[in-house]
Amino acid sequence: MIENSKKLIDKILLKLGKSNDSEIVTASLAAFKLIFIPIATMMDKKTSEKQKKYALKRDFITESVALAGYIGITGTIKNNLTAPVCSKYYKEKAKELTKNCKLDINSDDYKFLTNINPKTIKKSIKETTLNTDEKNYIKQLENLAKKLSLQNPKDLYLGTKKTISHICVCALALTIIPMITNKIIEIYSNRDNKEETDINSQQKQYTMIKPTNITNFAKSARIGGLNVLNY
Amino acid sequence: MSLIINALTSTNAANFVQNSTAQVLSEGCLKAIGRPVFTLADKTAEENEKKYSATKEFLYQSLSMMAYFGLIFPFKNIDYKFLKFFKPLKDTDIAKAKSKTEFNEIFKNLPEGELKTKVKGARELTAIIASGVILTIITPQIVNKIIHPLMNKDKNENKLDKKI
Repeated sequence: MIENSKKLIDKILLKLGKSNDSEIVTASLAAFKLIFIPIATMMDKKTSEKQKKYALKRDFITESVALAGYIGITGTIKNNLTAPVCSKYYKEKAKELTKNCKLDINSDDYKFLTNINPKTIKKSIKETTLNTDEKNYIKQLENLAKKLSLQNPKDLYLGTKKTISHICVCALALTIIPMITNKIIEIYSNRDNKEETDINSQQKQYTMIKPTNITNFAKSARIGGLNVLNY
Repeated sequence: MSLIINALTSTNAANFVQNSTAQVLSEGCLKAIGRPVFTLADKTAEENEKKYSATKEFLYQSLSMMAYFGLIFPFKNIDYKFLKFFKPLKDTDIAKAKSKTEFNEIFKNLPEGELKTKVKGARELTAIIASGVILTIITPQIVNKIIHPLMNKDKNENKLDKKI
């Protein structure tokens, strides 16, 4: 047990020390907020129950969506978008260098840079997973990048991943999370309204059959149940 | 297209977002705008419910930014004192540093490797925990204290407008 917890702390420290991605910080804060912000709202004694209930509902839904969004959406986008963006970077740089007459459009270097395989760039982060061909491919790219003063594929991949991750977090914070929260609240309140209408109609029916005084009840009883709703 | 690619692959952008402070501040500023706007746009809630929630959200996000500048930055100068609470670092020289200068000196001379990465990680983790405590436990209590005078002031002004 103690060994396991030590290993877990080791892992966390190494992960945070190596790469401090935006979604780790924001997701941890969202987890804190999911617990403590609703508690703080509940402790506000000067607010009406209705206001408190709405704020609580909103806080809880927002932070739950944020937590899921920061981990799920940001993780998926950065994992799938980073390598294609890196490949596009080399393509754009090759075109730029050709424009500035630093690279010949018919050269092998140009062809190589404009056809970079995104999957190999992604795999290059974990060198142990690369086979010999892929290792040579990355080595060739590294040499070419150095020769043309471009970014090294590994640094490019890690840097781009962080930037994409942060842009996703910002987009989520500014529009996507509050928009989803509004949608969920709308669904909830529609359901609540429907339930309220059902209860009201049931109560209405009940008051209709409920006799207002003993004489009316006696009258309706005498009619024999056929006109009980018409007295 | 190339502008977007340049922005996404820029080394300056990557350095900027690597910093926890930049992450929390940029995200917080966007939240301070986005959340109250969307709360006010919610058509299902009543006016005073929306107003309370939006004001609370705006106050909370703005105060969070101030708390971050006022408390997290000073905290970063004493975060080395918490290294001894992490078991993997407990017996290292860097965890025994008695001043920030001593810590910086040892850290600078540490070879690139597992220990240096763990120290960086431990500092990040303490910053996250401190941010959590400051932003989610202390700040909401302050918001609770100031939201009512602010909302009542608004109500009184509205009453005055109606009278006039």
